[in-house]
Amino acid sequence: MTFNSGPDFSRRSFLQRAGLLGFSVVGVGAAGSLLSACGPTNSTAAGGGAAAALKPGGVLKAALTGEPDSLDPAVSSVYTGAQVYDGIFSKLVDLGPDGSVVPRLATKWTAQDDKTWVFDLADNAYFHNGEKFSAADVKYTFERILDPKTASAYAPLYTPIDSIEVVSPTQVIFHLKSSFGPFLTNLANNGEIVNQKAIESKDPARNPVGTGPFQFVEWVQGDHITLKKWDKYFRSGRPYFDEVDFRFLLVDQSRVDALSAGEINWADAVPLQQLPTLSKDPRFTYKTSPVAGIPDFLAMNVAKAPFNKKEVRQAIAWAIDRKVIKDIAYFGSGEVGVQEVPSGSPWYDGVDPFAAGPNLDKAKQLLAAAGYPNGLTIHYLGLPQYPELLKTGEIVAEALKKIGITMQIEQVDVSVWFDRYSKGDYEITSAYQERTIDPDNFYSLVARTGGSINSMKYSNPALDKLIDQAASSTDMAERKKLYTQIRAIVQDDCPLIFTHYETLNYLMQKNVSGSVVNPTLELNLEDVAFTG
Amino acid sequence: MTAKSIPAGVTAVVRAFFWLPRSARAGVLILVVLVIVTLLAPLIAPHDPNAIDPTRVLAGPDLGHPFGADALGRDVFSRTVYALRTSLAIVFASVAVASLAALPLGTAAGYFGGWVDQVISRPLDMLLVLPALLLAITLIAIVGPGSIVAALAIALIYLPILARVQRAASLVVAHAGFVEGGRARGWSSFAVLRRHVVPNALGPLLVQAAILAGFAVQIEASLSFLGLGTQPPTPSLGLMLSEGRDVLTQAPWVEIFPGLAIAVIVLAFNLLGDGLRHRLDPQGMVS
Repeated sequence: MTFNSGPDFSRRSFLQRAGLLGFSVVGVGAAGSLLSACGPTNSTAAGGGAAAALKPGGVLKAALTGEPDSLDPAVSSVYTGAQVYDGIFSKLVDLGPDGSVVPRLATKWTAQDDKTWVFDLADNAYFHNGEKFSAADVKYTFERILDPKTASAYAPLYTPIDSIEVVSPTQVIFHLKSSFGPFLTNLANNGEIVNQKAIESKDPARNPVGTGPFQFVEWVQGDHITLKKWDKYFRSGRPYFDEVDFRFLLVDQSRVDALSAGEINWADAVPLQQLPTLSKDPRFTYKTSPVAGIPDFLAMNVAKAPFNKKEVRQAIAWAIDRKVIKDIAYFGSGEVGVQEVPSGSPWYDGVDPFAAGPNLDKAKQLLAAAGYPNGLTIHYLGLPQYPELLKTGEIVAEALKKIGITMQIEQVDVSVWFDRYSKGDYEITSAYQERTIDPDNFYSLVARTGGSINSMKYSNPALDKLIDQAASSTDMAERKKLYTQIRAIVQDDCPLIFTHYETLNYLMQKNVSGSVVNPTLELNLEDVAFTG
Repeated sequence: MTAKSIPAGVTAVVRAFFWLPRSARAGVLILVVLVIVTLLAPLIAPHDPNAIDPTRVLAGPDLGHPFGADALGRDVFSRTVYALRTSLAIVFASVAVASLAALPLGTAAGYFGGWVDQVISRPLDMLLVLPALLLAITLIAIVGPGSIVAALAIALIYLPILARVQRAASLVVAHAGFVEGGRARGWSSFAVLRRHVVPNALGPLLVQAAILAGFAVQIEASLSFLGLGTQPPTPSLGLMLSEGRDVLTQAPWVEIFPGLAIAVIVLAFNLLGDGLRHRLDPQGMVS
């Protein structure tokens, strides 16, 4: 799984290489099985709606926003890699569109205590090389990810694993070092089960062998990857397609054109400026969902004047109009920025202290209180790579003018931006955090003292304590309460201001059914089929 | 036409205008109109060029907004008017800086020759080796983006070109009889340069400067397009092109009008440059 997600993926993959991965992989996960207790959120928004009969067979031609780096699930670090290898491999468990944990290779699981997880495994799954799936593969998979020699970027997801015990071919026990709430979610995130024999016989980056619904056929560099149906797939009646062809169409317009011409059936990432027309186009089905995406925010360097003054940060929060940002910078797509998770997340509480904003009088009072009654000049580090972020900057600049703040924009290349942002060589900028399933993923990294992406250089010991407490707890209700408190502190102190939540979107031909946006960002093509 | 009713300066300007070939007169007229437009920008632009209007995102042209609105709902006509101002200011500044620097350097190199020529010309030749845009991008990468830096970057590109033209012209004039005569009279080098060499060697520099001004518009647009020139939200023609590219299929007017403006400026400067060349550089010293 990757954390390099976004409506326009080709853009963001650069940052991935620039090192963002290090930012994103640590501590991803939700409170595991507790999620299911939360009940479905809004899976219907994600599109279910498969009223027409699903017809087995056919070839799906899907356009991705870029080419995978590798098809080895332990190594691949770009989002398009996961979109492809997700069809080749299976995981022990998966996350449904509503965030609930659903069985896959594991048929049943129980936590004997906080540190001991027992998994019963499917007895009818086979790898594409003919090997029968068993508990030994599970043990091998996670030991391989944790092996420093593999250099897997996903190792931090599994560091709490102490040992893996093979009880029988169909039962495995994970012994954890400590209580770890996000364990199941992490398994669903990046726990693709591999086979030792297959890994050791051929280069796993180019010859992926899994137990998934489709087996790998060929990868023509720069052109396409072909997968075909695996006849011995363990879930009966799946997959529907005989074959899936992934094309790499990096230019937004080329995906739209290919879809219009009927050359492809399915496309990732609709260009935002065309959403209003394409989403209503009778030729296509449009899918989006508030379950996954990217929170965008204004980050302010609290180590530098004038942003060392809380009132200045609060004044900016009261001056901006997030609805305008959504309507203009994002062409009305996505959600108004309220918190780190989208409204479809079980963690969303909807508490928004700035709901009544913008309030220019209040903003001016705060500025005066901070010692700037006559306004001030600030510098915004612009990232033209992502037009919507830069447009957000321009809208913010226009809004701040009204409270006497002159915001000068300096656009820099993405690598320069990344360097200056991570070093804290900026005053204010628009930043984003890759997918956040569990709020811990955001707050531990972004807001905690010394967090790996805490580029605001923010430090609040009281907040740190709450973040740690929330991470170690395994009680969903308690954690939710803690995150509400955490958000209240962050929104009062304003080291960052949420400006928007970008959601994912897919566009497909009318006869493609069953495609939904999943929290894991995977395509789950085994559930997708033609209707006619 | 009496000197009493019409000031001598105006007479000279009018004369100079009619001294130009007809096509160049058209170029001058276009430039005069553009300069007037930029000077009166606040009066001509019907709206604040940076005012964001959520209700007019990508709205098409109408009577109140003849060029439509861009992705932020800003009036494209007003932005184009202000962008002309930014772009022309950068163009004039860059060409003026480059010409003023090239004049003494090129004259000295051409007139004195020898080691003076070597010291001046070799470093300039080194600049000439670098591709123009790369040179500008390198400078901006070091100093940081902005309108002034963009102007200086263009000046740096033009300096060696203009200095070489001035050097060649001075070299020719340096051996003319009237220069020898000045020297024979015992004039100082400075006096000879000021009275004989510069006035007689200036033509090719002016021609080259006018032609380069047209290209300067394009370089400025290229730099701003790449995000290295004028910084948003200040409108500049290149920046507007860059902003319009994403919405080309939905709202072509965001792209078309600044594109047309660039074409018109380049055309005007080229007409002027060609006309000047016709009159001032019949031997074809300017490449």
